[in-house]
Amino acid sequence: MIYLDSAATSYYRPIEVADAVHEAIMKLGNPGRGSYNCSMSAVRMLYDTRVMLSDLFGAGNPNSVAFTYNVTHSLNIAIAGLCKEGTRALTTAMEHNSVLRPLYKAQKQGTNLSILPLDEQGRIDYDMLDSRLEQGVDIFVCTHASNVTGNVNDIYKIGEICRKYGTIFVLDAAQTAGLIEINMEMANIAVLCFTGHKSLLGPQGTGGICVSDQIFMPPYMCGGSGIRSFDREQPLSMPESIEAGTTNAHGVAGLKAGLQYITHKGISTIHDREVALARRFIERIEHLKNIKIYGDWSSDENRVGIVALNIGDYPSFEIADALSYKYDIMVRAGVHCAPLLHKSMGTERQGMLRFSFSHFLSDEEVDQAADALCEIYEELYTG
Amino acid sequence: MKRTEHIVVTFEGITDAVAFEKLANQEEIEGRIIPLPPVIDKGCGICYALKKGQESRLKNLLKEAKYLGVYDDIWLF
Repeated sequence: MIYLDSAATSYYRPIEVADAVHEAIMKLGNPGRGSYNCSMSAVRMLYDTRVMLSDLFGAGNPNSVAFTYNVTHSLNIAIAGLCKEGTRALTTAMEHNSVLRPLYKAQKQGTNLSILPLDEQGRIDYDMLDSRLEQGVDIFVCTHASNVTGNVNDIYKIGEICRKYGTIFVLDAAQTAGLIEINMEMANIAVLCFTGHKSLLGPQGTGGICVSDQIFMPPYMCGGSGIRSFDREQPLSMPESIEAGTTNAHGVAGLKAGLQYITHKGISTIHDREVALARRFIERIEHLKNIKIYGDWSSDENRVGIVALNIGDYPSFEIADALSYKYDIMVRAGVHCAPLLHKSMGTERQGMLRFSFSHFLSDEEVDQAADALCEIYEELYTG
Repeated sequence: MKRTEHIVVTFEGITDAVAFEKLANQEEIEGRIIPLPPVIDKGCGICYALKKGQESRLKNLLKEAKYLGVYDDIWLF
């Protein structure tokens, strides 16, 4: 089996992540519900992980980091918290539904929403962004990297433009947390949303939101907090304001192990390897006449290790099914929960085949995947 | 490795698709779960595809299964 859907979730992980979850399940109590050993072990583990995440993202303060169930949860918290009736919100056509749907929901409740279009390579235009923000935008929500094309947005340029016009910058780091350096302070990111189960190599069911000290994020859920139990409302200070109920400490223990691995390995090493694998794959298939590869491939710095392509007019699902059924190679086909990008590219019906590469893969596995695609291509055009 | 015609059964939700797959396995139908083809407008993201020639067993299965629609003329490897 060759797994090429890391953009959906990591399949290959260091064994330490599984070991950490197992140990946590066997040893941890409920964090923040007692001062006895196993509860405090959980609290200390959560705190250490907050410190690591705060350092990773340049958040400046471990208390700025609250754990959530995934990036979708984080984005819902951010958008519901910041978008009210009359709020002027802007996003882009490259977004995942985890950004779009909460914004559409806010729009129904009175937020004014507009969407920045993409060029033919799926990129936003920074001059266009500047003039839009100049007209008055309260919140700009965008992805760091497209989950379809792998194009990376320049968050430092975006942050500068947002700073110029006083726009709150909310970043969806689903595809880049643990893969590309992000400094919230330098990029003027007010809210950063991330997931634990992709490039941070943690378990599913983990993620978080980092909120700058300059922003008040209201509670999204209310419930047990372990503190101020006689208050009828959720505490308003981070992270308790966001972490109602029992935190997934078992999962965060695994996330911590993933963070330790990527810190030791070096995130730029991981990024370079994944982009190199993507380029190796492309080199092996680009001779095929009817292959179309999407996205901006002008530089390695502007992208992550994702290749989106189509073979002629063949529906992408059919090729993905053949790769899985005949070759045991796993890729994603369809619209990848990014409907506006596909509308922009004219691929709403056909979708795209998405190959997303983990640094754990070998060169041989990538060559095998490319050769399998070539065989399917041969069958379609000469068989 | 040739493409052949398949029949596809679609579902409202993924749970129904998985329930159908279990029934199909019990009936020893030769088929599999695939992504929903774009030519089909309604259904969740996955569907069940079986090779043509198993129509009578499928007919029996559809009497007890929860499904949305049945389509033919779907070509797969």
